[in-house]
Amino acid sequence: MPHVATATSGRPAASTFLRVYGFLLVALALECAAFEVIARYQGIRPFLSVDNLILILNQSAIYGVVSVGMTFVIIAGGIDLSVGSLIAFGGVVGALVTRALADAGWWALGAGWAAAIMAGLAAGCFSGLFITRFQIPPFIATLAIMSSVRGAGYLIVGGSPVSDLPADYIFLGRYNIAGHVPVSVIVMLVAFAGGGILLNSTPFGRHVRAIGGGAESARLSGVPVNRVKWIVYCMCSVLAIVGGLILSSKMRSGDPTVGVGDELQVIAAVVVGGTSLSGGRGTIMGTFIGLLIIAVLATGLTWIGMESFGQQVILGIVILAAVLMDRFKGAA
Amino acid sequence: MSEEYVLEMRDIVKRFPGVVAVKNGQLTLKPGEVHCLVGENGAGKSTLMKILSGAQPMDSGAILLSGKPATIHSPHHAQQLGISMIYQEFNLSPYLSVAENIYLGREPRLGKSPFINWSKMYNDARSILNRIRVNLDVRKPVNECSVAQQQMVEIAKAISFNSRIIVMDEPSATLTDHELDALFELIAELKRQGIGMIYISHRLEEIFAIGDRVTVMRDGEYIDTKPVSDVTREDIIRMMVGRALTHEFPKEVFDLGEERLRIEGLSRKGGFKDVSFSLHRGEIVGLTGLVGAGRTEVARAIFGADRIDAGQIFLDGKPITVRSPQDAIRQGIGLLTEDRKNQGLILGMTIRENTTLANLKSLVRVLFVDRGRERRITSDFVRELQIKTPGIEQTAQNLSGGNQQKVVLAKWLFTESKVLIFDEPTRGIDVGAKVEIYRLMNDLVRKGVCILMISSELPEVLGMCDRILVMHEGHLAGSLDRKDATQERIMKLATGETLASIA
Ligand SMILES: Nc1ncnc2c1ncn2[C@@H]1O[C@H](COP(=O)(O)OP(=O)(O)OP(=O)(O)O)[C@@H](O)[C@H]1O
Ligand SMILES: [Mg+2]
Repeated sequence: MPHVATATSGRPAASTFLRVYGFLLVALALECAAFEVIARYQGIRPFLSVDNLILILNQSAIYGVVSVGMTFVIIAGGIDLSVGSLIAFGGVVGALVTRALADAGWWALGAGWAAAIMAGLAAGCFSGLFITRFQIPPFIATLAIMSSVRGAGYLIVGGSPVSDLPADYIFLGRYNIAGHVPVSVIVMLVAFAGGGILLNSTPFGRHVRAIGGGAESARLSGVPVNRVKWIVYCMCSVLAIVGGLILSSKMRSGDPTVGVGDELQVIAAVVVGGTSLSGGRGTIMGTFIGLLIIAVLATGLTWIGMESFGQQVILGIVILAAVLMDRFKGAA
Repeated sequence: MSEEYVLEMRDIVKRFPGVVAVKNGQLTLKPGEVHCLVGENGAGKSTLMKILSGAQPMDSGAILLSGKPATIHSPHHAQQLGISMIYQEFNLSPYLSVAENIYLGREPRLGKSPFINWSKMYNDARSILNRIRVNLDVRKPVNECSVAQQQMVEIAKAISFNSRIIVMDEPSATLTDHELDALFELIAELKRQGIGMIYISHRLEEIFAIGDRVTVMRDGEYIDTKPVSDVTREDIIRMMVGRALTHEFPKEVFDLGEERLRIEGLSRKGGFKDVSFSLHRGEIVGLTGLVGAGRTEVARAIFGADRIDAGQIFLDGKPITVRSPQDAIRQGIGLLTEDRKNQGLILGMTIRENTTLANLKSLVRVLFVDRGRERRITSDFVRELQIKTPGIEQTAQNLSGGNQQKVVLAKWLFTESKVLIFDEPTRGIDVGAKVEIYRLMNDLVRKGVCILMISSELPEVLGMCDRILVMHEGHLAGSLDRKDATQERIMKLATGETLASIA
């Protein structure tokens, strides 16, 4: 009987990995190769180097951390527009608390982080509350949070950025471990690894995908739909705050004006990585590669001397191309 | 000779990754004929029809329309060629009116202007509905129409394209008996008008009610075509499953054990009122009644999917509160829902992920899902339920309707519940697989699970249940023991007569 299934045994092999991510990896490789060729042709320094790799990772750390949370939100069938505001808010809260306790040394830094993360949890809880309890569409609920959080950031600092921060404050953003590896890159990689394991290997991750794929079926299968959504929005908000702490540490200030429009950059990375905006389908690994594709593009275009307006045009084209190719792959 | 056929499909082949869905599809259709297409789940019936209606391209083969070879590019093209398909899930726009749906995309205009000529549209729609003798307000929004009326709208739409060929894929699965009669009258009317129809169904009695010829498919192969008057039900089953089916209802009667589930005075506004009954170990209890009598509502309330306004549920003698499906599952109550697409499956997930979704926690080792065990368990279910698929990683979307239903069944079997409520468990399931499902029910009952089976198919209720509860307009109208139950008695209770008047 040819139709009847035989037990498929063994772990998903390398071939599965290539089938799922092959297209994205090829796109990334082609992109790197193109910049390398152009760089050689122009006679400038070669594009591909360890330093450049670290530079690219370093520059994508903030979006990277946030995009892990956004991937969960989008797979669960939602969207979170508040992350840009939360990036600013996290920096502001972290900076304010750290400065207020500056005499306590490292403790001050820890307290700043903790306060900012608590603020992120609160924001996530609000999003979750409106989306689950009051059934407000995520787009609208998080749009409201985006506006309020942005305003709150300005209100608590009274307009001008928080500066005069202790020297330790740059730990997250500018400190390198073993002289080479930025702390921010490590934070990002940990977020990706943790996110990937959570999504692929735990019941929670399965529940997130089930909800995005069909919320009513999931509920009737005993999936705690509201609780999972709640956690997902809290996770995304907290990761946005972490991104904000890194940014504020890089700038050694708490600036309420930063992060405007960052939600769209983050969503772009997630979508280029093959996650479906209609929910249910997507991977953390894909988001990581999508993030790199966009980061390499930005760095590469600067490397070969293109100004930022041109870069924006090309970014738009790349997003469209990536989504089209993904659709094509789905149809084939 | 071939001019007598409006349609001939010859040597059709269709492959999907890992499956040959149709190996050798053959079908001919005469004008004014009802041609029934039958076969086991996954035999390739729907796929063959999707090829005809342009929804799927074929790999090889030929389609002849009135003797002339045709290539069908898209559903839209098929409509222009006079082929319409009525899917089980309708393609209607819910907030538009009946008339707007019939003329969607080809609204009559006022002269050459871009404005819709409403009066013409309503009149045309009315005359089409008159032509097929359907009485329906053309201004009514489709979402306010019953399922049967929506089906009528689909058929009216097909007529408005001047279709010569109408395909109906399991049109009867969601209809009540009364609505089914109306559908059959409509089919008879279409026959008189010379329209050829292909009719897919797993309810074999329907073939004898309306069919002229019947074609049987098995594992993607064409088996045979026969005039309906020349075959018996047994002949068809033998052609479908390749052997004779000895017992259609392999009922085993077990000793009645202690009480498992008791419902007292359960009420929900607008759904049902003061429903009380109990289920014991060792029995299958049927819950039947006309569609809309509140059967599904009662099931959903017990399962915590809907809130209850009054009443108490007892499990193993102890009062329990069920606030959510999650609660119900934790306490050992499962509900197999009637709507598998929206309430049963996550269509984008694999067979494996769907099978384990309701009991994922039993697979957790430390913090992680034990994939190896998950794969073994799913493979076991696929084998046991004979789910036709190239593998357990197939997405549910790509399975045939009946095989999707089997996956939903596997999900509930894996929960190891004490009480299982099955709402139309054999809908869309072929005759052979039905018997396997009944056997599984026997096994469950033997293990002490008690089963509440909601079904509109009286033969199944009579054949498999130890006791039959009948609902009428939200009330429990009565209860019949296996030995006293007959179709007539059930129908009397279901239509609101008292038992005294029958006895
Ligand atoms: N899009 C698809 N991708 C992969 N396989 C498919 C797809 N569509 C159908 N199949 C497979 O083709 C086979 C035939 O399916 P089909 O839906 O035609 O069966 P069917 O005869 O209509 O069965 P049922 O009575 O259960 O509705 C099945 O094994 C099914 O899994
Ligand atoms: Mg089918």
